[in-house]
Amino acid sequence: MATLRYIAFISENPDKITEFYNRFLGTKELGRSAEGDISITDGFYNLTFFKKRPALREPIMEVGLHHIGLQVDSIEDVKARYMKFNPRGVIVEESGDLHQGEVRIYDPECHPVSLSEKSFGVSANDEKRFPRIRHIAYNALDPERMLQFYNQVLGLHELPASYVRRQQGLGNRFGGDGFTNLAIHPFYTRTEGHEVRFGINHIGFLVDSMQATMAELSTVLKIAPRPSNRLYAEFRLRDPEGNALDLSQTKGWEVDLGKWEKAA
Amino acid sequence: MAAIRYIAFISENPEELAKFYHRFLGTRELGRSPEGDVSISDGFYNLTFFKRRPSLHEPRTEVGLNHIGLQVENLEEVKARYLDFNPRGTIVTEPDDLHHGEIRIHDIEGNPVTLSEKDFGVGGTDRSLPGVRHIAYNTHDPEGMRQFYSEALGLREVHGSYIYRRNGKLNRFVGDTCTNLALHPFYNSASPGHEMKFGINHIGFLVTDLKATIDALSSAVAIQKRPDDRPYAEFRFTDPDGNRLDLSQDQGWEIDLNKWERVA
Repeated sequence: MATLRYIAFISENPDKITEFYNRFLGTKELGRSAEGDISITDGFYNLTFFKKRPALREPIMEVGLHHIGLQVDSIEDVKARYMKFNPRGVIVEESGDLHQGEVRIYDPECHPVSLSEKSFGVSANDEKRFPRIRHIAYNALDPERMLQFYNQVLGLHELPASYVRRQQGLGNRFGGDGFTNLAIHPFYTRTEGHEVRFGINHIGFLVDSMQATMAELSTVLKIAPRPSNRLYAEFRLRDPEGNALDLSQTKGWEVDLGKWEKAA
Repeated sequence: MAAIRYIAFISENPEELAKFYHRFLGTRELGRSPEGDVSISDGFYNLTFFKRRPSLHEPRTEVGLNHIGLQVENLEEVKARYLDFNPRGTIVTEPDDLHHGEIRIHDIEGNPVTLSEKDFGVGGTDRSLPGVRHIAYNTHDPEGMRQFYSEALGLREVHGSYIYRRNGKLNRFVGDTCTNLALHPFYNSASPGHEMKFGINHIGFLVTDLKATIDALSSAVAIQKRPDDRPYAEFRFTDPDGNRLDLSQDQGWEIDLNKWERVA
């Protein structure tokens, strides 16, 4: 199965945002480009903050969470499954450097998905359990089609929470790769607390000391508890560029069939 | 057949933008909202400049050309064809005021497509010039987009499109008898002058006196000649928000199968 290991942001100020993640969420820098892009890691993920500039040539150039990437066993196998899923699917080469994958494909709603057979520059020596990303949430026009893409092309498993939503007639879908929970919510919904951002809406960090993390974060920003009816995460905050981040310790996230990642 | 009659932009300064179009392209104001949105017309199109704000709740919120709208004879019939084309297609009610249609559907790449049985508040079908005759998208799947516009909305593939097909190119063109809709590949490094903006890349105005229009515009913006190999439009410039606009007098645009609209 492919593994989610990369999140790209577009940023006006990669330095400032890096400082925030390093200070409050225990990340460390992997490297930077001559153009001002910075890649950091939580021990498993490569988070790359691309300096916003026309030369990025991204389909969407808005500041914020942009696209994800997966480590795969065989790019050729994934490409074959992708072309079966979408015979006119677009495949584009990426640079394969620290800040990018080796190729990119596109999900059914035109978000890039970077692929690499490598670990996006994250060494096994960097491995740590907390704080670490365990959750990525999209808002999508067609969550079912998005889940089909992640399942049929990249092998992610549909999770029990997703089946519950199906039974309830809700559009939300959830997939897992054994390490990360991928939520796919309907973009158009009147659900309480729903934030209308198309594409990646937020990511979630699992922390082992919520109280300490909150105390530190509270010195610089406001943190809101999540609505009590939500399955995952206790709190939500925003980084200096407005990206929504969830924090969880006790609720955690379901990352595979019957497998939850929690800190308590 | 449905007719394209609406173009929505997102703007930091709708008022300035409206003034620019009035001054150089002869448009007139239709009305404005308390939130600062301004709708103008060339006599046939409603061009709405939405004031950029989070409450727009648009999937894509960058400043620039955002989405198009079509006047249709029967919304229910279009909805039925849309759901035939995409059984899980998203249909959303719009406010049905001067700045919106009655409902929106979404093309295969998630771009909203606004629909109305009315004329978007234009109050007639004045086809005098200057007037919009061309809209061009950059897309990952021009053929899939063409199928959407043909099958869900009845637009016809035009002769120019078949020439591109025969040459093994991905570009597609359709018409509704009033406007030429071009669908270009987003990734197209082989085409000189290709500008990588995903979604609506530019629109084109047909003018009766190209020289006078260019003379007037030259006092405010830079104007570039289009590459010689292009079938449409002689010149390109950008408005104050950076939206790309083509100008044509002699070349014109193919707005239906073998039906061209040009001045000379």
